[in-house]
Amino acid sequence: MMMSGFKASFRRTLVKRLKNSSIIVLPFFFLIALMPIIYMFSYVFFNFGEVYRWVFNDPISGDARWVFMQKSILLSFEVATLVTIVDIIIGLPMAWILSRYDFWGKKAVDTLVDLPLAVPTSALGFSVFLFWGSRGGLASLFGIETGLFSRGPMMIVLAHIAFTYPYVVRSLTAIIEEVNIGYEYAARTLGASSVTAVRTITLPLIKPGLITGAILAFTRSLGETGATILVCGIYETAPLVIVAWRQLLEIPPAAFLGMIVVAVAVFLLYVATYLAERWRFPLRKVWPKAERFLSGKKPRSVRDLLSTLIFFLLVLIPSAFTLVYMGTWWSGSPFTRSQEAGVVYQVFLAPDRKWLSLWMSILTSLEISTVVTCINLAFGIPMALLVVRGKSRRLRGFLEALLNIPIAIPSAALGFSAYLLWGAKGLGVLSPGFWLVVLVHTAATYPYMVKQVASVLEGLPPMYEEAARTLGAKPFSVFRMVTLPLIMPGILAGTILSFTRSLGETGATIVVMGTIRTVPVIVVNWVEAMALPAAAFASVVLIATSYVLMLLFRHLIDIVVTKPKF
Amino acid sequence: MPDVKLVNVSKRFGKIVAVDRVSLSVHDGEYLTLLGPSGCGKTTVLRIISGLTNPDEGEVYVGERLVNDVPVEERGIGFVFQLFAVFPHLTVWENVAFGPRVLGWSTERIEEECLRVLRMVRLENRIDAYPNELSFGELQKVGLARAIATGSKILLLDEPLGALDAKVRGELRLELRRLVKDLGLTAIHVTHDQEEAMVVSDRIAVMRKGRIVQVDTPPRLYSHPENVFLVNFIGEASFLEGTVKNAGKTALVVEIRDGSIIRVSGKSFRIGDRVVVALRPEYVKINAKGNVGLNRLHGRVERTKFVGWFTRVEVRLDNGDLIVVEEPMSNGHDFEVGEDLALTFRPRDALVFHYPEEGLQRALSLE
Repeated sequence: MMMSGFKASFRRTLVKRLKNSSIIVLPFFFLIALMPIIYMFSYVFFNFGEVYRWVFNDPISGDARWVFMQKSILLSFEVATLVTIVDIIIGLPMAWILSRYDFWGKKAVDTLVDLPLAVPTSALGFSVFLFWGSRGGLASLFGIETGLFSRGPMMIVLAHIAFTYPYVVRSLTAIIEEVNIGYEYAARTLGASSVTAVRTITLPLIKPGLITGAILAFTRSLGETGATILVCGIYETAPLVIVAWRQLLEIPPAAFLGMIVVAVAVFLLYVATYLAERWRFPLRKVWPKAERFLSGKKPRSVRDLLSTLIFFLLVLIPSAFTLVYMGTWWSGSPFTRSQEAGVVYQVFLAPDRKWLSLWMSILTSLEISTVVTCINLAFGIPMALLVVRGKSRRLRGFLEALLNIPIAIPSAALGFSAYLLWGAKGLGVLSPGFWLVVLVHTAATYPYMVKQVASVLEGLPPMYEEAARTLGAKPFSVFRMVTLPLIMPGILAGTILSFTRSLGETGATIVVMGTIRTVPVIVVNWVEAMALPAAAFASVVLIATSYVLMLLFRHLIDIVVTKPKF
Repeated sequence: MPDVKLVNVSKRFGKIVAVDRVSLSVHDGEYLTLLGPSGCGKTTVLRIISGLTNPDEGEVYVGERLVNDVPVEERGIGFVFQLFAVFPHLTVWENVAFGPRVLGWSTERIEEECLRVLRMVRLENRIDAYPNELSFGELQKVGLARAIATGSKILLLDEPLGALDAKVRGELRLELRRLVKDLGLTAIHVTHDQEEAMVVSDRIAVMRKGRIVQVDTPPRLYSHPENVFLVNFIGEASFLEGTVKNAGKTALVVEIRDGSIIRVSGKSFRIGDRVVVALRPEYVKINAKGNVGLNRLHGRVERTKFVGWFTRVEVRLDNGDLIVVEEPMSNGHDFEVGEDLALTFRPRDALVFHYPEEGLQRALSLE
């Protein structure tokens, strides 16, 4: 009796909590993600005299920082634009093949497309560098001694294409599979060749997926640091400049640049979304003859072959090339046979005991990612409920728009603003180190958790919960026994995303890490120290950790989805 | 010459034979319905004619031309879909103009032609509406207008009324037939609704398990079904199993399960044949007690159902068989469960079939 009474009252409080979760969840989101950014803006505003001196009127260099800043911003946007365009051009045919054709080995290709997602970007950037830029990479096929490309804008674009490609292909396959193929059939019975049908009917219908994919690719490319830092050479994108100035403790210009980047990114996100929704594909013209030719067998097989080749050459092999590199450099240099240039010596035998710092960094990385994911779970699920089920429509729209901000802005800027707010320059609560890293990673990954859960929740018809209510279940029991199991796939997907994103995060980590080191940072450090074989080993360890965890969660999803438990 | 001919067409999906050596010819200007239970292959036949599905074997002719290798878009055959497939991102007008536009017609001709067909389906006031503003009935009218706007003389309709409310369905099927006849189109209509098929068609081809069972006009299909499946599928019937005791030129004497004798009309049966006698409910009469008739069956009322202008009575015969009778209200008979009844029917009203090899239950099943 006592027990059940206690249980009931416990449940009642929980229900209340859940209902009033906005009281906890909204301040949480505000505190970790929005307040630092607002603080960064106000910092620039209130210290503008100092900012001005640093940026426009330095006693030694004059406005050199301002010029440099403009160049870096321009480069960032040029790269992101080019990457997005290339992604769509090469991703659309691949998405088409994956969602409309059935062929031997389709499952394998489908998995391979996701592979770059499992590779943390610093490991991926390193791999891309090895493939395109080292003499052991693609250049060895042509007998070139130096590598095909040197580090710089071209290689930044190549690296960014490799890790943004899966986002575009995934967004597109999802929607192509969803679009009723009947519309295409209908168009063909009306005399349209298959190319005409796709262009005039299917393409407009998959526009939302195209927009989602393009925005994802653009923002990911714009804010990326881990890969960029390894392939940029003497060129620097805006996030890298923030990281560099923070390391030099040139705080005022870093804050100013952070502000500009955030403002432009957010502005672009909303303007682009707004315009894209209103833009209609031009349908007026038809070219029956040309499109009939393109619908033929030959042009189609050329297209299929080309998109597969491009996928392998631009995405898959560059992403996984570290493995080849590590293999050839395992016991020594393949060129000089020097053992000291090999992986084994550098990592395990050299006096600086790299294996020890690698081991410590793995532990640190896993700890951070685990704590971050737990926080995201605790605060993300109530937030998702609020975003989907919230009472006022305006609040829901507003929250969704706010949630996009941490996704749209470069994580380095986000990290820097948190450093400003919580660190010695601001409130002086947290100095750079473990907890500040956790805080920044949470801010950067929280929206992914919320969005994954929210998208499943949105697709959940209310009838199941209504049925549970009519059967006598109290609201909390409904949530625990019906809602929670049904949204479990979204929760697990969010967990994967937030964990792997945190594991691979580089730019924001460098800004706030203090004396601790995570694996991606170790990779960057070793590459900068030209200990490439050791860096390759660290990359492979990072990739393996990330991949094993991803497989584990996928397996969990399969179990949960096939056997819902109560 | 928009007639359509199929010769020995087959289609398999993995191990399932969806269409099994189907031959069919549809005449110029004819309204033919493919009728059958779901999964019988009727939609596949339609898709094969349109070119959306390629047959594994057999030939498809449109006019005199073999079209097996002609792609969908070059066949010039209109297709109306069950779930409309009205392009959601285009207005009514743009949907209807889609076909003419991809065919490269001049702007004036497109305007004229589209307006003409939209008037025909009475949607000329809704040309700027988007599909999400239309009712299901209107959506299907758009689907129909779109299919005929290209001027195709053959119209394929895949359960065109299947997604609509009963009332709208009733109105639209008449409009459909009127339109097809006014334009002189050849129409092939797929449905599983036998009433719809009866009302709308010149001829009906009944399909079962991938094969065509019988092709005939609606009245002949009802009065002269070729097997027990058809009796049961088109209309309703009760079945008596028996053995032929005596066979004349057109008359048979059949002994049913408890040994009683009935007389029915039927040719090409021999003494000793196992047969099934089918009785339509409207041909079985309730006989006042004591009245001696030719075919008398005895039983008790098991269940009654008041339908409206008649009462449906299920009578369990003494031999265990069940007979359904429809008795008009005007006869003023109140039936009680358990009441003794005598039933009678005229020999020529019974339909006689050889006992099916697969067994009666299997022969009747819709699977």
